[in-house]
Amino acid sequence: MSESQQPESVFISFAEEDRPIADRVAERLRHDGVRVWQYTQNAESGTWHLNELRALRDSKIAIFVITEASATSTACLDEAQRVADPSQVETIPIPLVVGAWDHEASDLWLLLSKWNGVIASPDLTEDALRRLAELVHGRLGSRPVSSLSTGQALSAVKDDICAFLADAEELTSSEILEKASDLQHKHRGNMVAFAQFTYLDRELQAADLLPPAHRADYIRQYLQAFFDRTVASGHADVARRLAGYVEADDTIVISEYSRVIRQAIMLVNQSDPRLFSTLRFIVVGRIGMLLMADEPLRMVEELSALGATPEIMPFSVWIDYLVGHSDSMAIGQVNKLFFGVEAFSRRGDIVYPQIVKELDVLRTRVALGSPIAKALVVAAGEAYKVCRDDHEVSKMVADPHYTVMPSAAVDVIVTDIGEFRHDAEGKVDLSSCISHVATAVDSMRKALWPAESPLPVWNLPDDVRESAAILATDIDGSVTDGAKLSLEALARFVELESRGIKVILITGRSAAWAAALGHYLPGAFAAVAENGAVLIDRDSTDDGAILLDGWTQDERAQRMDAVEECLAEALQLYPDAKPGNDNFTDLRTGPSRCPRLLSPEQWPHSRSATTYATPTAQSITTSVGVALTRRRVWLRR
Amino acid sequence: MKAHLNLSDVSLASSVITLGDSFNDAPLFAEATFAATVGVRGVLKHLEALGTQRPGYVTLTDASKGFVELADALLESGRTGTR
Repeated sequence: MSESQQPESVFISFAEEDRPIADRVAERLRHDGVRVWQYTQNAESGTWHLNELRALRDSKIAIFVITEASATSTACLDEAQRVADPSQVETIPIPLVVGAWDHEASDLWLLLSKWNGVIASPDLTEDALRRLAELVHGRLGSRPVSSLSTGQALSAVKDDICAFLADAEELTSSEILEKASDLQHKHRGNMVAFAQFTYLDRELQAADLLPPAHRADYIRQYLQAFFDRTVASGHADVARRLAGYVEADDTIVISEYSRVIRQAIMLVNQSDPRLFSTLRFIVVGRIGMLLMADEPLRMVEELSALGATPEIMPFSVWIDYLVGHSDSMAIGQVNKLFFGVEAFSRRGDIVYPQIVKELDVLRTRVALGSPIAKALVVAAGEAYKVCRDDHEVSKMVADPHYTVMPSAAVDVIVTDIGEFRHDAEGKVDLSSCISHVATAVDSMRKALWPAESPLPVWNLPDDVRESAAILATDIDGSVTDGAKLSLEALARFVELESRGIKVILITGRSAAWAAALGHYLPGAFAAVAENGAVLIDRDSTDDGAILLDGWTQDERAQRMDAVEECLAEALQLYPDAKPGNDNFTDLRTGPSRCPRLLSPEQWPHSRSATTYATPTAQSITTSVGVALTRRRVWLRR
Repeated sequence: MKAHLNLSDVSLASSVITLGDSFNDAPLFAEATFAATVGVRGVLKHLEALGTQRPGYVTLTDASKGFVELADALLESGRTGTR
């Protein structure tokens, strides 16, 4: 086999008149490093067509340039027939329709329309070439391991990315995401959403809170834990639940290779060999429609190994059967149809490799009186495959491999955490699947998070959220941006109040500031000001400001002297400073003697949390306590 | 809904959540005292200065957005896999 005939080549079928188009396609693909077969023999010599057919047979992809010229070419039609033959499993066609003409009436289109392709304007724009190249790359790139199921592809990406992270030192989130996306393409084209399914995108946001040196290691551990816990157990649980739907004498149609379905059938085989022996399996051959040329064979092999005698039904026969075409009725009665699902939407819609023709029939099977009108259609998939929002669904469906089947097309959705049927209004809600995975992820994070680092607020335990009655919050920099309250923050004050969560404002600012803020902010029932020295209880019947020092008048007077002394000393050290002034002059409090003041030279370096905060630590805790105690008294009065 | 809160049942260690942004909020980060202690994202700059008195949790966003994030975490009923 020569270099050009090795199986990674692309064959281009075209009419001689369209050679400039074929040349541009070939040039573009060669530029991307793809081997393209293009004949150089004289078209008139009579031997070229045989060579061409040999090359076609050995190619993985055949691009058909469909124009008015090729539509009438017997050579092109011959090639299309060979590739479109259901028994042909080696070569996948990609139709490229060029020009505005009635291509849908042509035989070429009739043969090739069920495969993804590109419809281009007569001048074959760069954009059309790019879309074509993407289709080619997607298929070539995923070919070597294309028969990996989603779960297997996810595991393969996980293993590779973990190896990469183990060697890495400091990595940014976007570098990790980019690597995951590269590996995903390497293992299975676009057909698996690694970062989405593993919640990796979400976890990278959390990992951004860690010191850079810890991120790669943390993400590696996270992914290992996710697969050990969520993926492995999810798979087993779906299979276990799905096995429960298998009954004696069932005729089960399996419409796609799926590990979960295989596992479920193996479970039935192990637990009830007698029941298993009564089952009839029909595997739909989707050869050529997807890249998974060997999938039906794999399913058949595995079922045979269990002692079953599965039948393969070509896709066209399956469609004929679904619509009740009499030629296909030898199949008999089908009463179960199992789908292994790629992804779900939150509303239970099913993201599935292109099955457009099946979709409409399944949805309307009862109305149309299809032979499977009474069959139970079961879609199975793990909870982590539920898309968290519609954006994720759109992203998947933007890939031409995917389509969305409305939840109404199936009877039951089987997941690892439960089985879902439509409610009276035909609705399914899978949001519990999302919370299930998010909760599992939160608990993995808690176990793996470096002890010295604060956890993301996502990890606030449910019981703490439930019992939270008071939010004691600093103001500047915690509630405000650049000394301004945002509208969103203000709205949360209102909402917290309406939900019975009170806010205590904590600030180093003067009592007057705190009193005013506390007065105007909804939900703020108290404020602790002056670094914990003063408590303002908004609804109190007193004047509203309470000193927390517990001193007598005399003691306070002494301290005021110390404050004055201290102030004088400070003004000497900082001649530009001005004493603060507020409305609560009689409430000033202070230390019993002037503390050692720091000079401007010392100040920025020695300002550490302990020296600064210790004197006020006790008073803040006390004041929050006092606020509560006073309120208690006041409520009882 | 906690609209009918009986404040006499309130205790610091089970009911009070604190929020701060800097090293001078260290007293608010006394983990053993409160039900939970939270910093807005900017607090990460001050972890060293805070020493052992660092918050148990941190918001993904800073300043007022961090406050909103924490408020939403307290308000959200049922986990919905927020991102």
